[in-house]
Amino acid sequence: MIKKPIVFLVVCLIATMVSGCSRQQQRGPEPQAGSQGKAITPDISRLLKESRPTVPVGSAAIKAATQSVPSFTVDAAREYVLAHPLPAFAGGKNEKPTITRAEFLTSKQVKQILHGAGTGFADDQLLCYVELQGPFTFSGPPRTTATYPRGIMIFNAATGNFIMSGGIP
Amino acid sequence: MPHRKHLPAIAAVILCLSLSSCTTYSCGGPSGGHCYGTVSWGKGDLGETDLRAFLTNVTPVELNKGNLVINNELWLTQEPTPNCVGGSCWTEVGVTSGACASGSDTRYFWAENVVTAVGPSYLCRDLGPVDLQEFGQPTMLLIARESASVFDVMVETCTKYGSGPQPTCARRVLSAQSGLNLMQPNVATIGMEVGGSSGASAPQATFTGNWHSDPFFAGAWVTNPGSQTAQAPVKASWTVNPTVQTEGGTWVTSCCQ
Repeated sequence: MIKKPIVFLVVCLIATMVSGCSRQQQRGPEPQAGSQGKAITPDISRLLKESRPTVPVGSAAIKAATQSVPSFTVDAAREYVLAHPLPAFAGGKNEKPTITRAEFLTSKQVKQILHGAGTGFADDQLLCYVELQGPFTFSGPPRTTATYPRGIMIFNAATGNFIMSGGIP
Repeated sequence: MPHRKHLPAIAAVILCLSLSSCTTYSCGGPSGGHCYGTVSWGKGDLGETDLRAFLTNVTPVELNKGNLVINNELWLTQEPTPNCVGGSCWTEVGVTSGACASGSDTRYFWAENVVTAVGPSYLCRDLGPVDLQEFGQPTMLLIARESASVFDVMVETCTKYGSGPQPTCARRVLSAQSGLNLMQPNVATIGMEVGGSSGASAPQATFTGNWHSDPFFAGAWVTNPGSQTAQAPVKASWTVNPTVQTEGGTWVTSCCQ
């Protein structure tokens, strides 16, 4: 009578030592790291809590002409955009997008143009904003596109790096 | 004897055939008509009433955009909806050659087609190049609704959720916020998008650890094979079916040989 519970306890104890005596749950917050062979499931709350927006690096585009900010001229930006057109241009085969606006603006001013969408930079960061006459079509998931009459390309005024592009009404 | 005016075209075809990487296909152009190798889940497929977040581990591979674009990515979408331009609102994050700008190297990016209280826009952000050490290593992609109108978009390189050893390369976190984003996502999609007509290529990439969450960020591995699309020249399929007890299955994509 007494032996069976003891055997059960011993088996459970061994099982505890071998497996950690807990089944990896598939729902809910999980450990941040696990040993090899043990599944690590995402803890979204922790991920979001720990993440800080990264300042966009972008890609090398307009060559800096000076050490100051802006490091290039609006004309240099125009020249770059005409030489490297936004691939989403959906005009006629022999048409090209035309630049309708090009100027240095703060990130805050650009944010206002973009209906409140962030640039990833501090409000006072100087950016180069270039606007084009479209149309521009952007592809999403299967069977999805969005066409906007105006296109935009934005550069970091300090580095000349390309940061973002898009479409606005 | 071919007419002289056809000679450049003939020369181009001969050159194209002589280059193994020069493949021609019909995947639309800037106006759409792209080819996809994707798997999608409606929130009902995932057993969710509110799809708040989706996560996948993708292995970045060297992408060659050919004459337009090629991506391996994750989308979170609200469709259909009259709120956004084109009838769908979406947020996407992944690895690209050719999205956002005309460059051709392999980069991380995220984009959104949204409507704010002020108006709609589509915006595509360049998050920088994939580091050499990150190719072939798992990279976490996450889109999560942090609050009613803010989505967090994360790329965590050299990071894997699920079992097995963690990558040994140095981890980087690229994080951004999609603010004033009123999207109510009802579809999650992972996989490859190719646009254009020639020259794109991509070795096999994997999407593992596919995971979704409910409104309280409690989540589960995907166990439903979803709605699959594989449009030539994109090759895509489950190599580990998520219906088998796995950690979200393994979806693979490649193009365009």
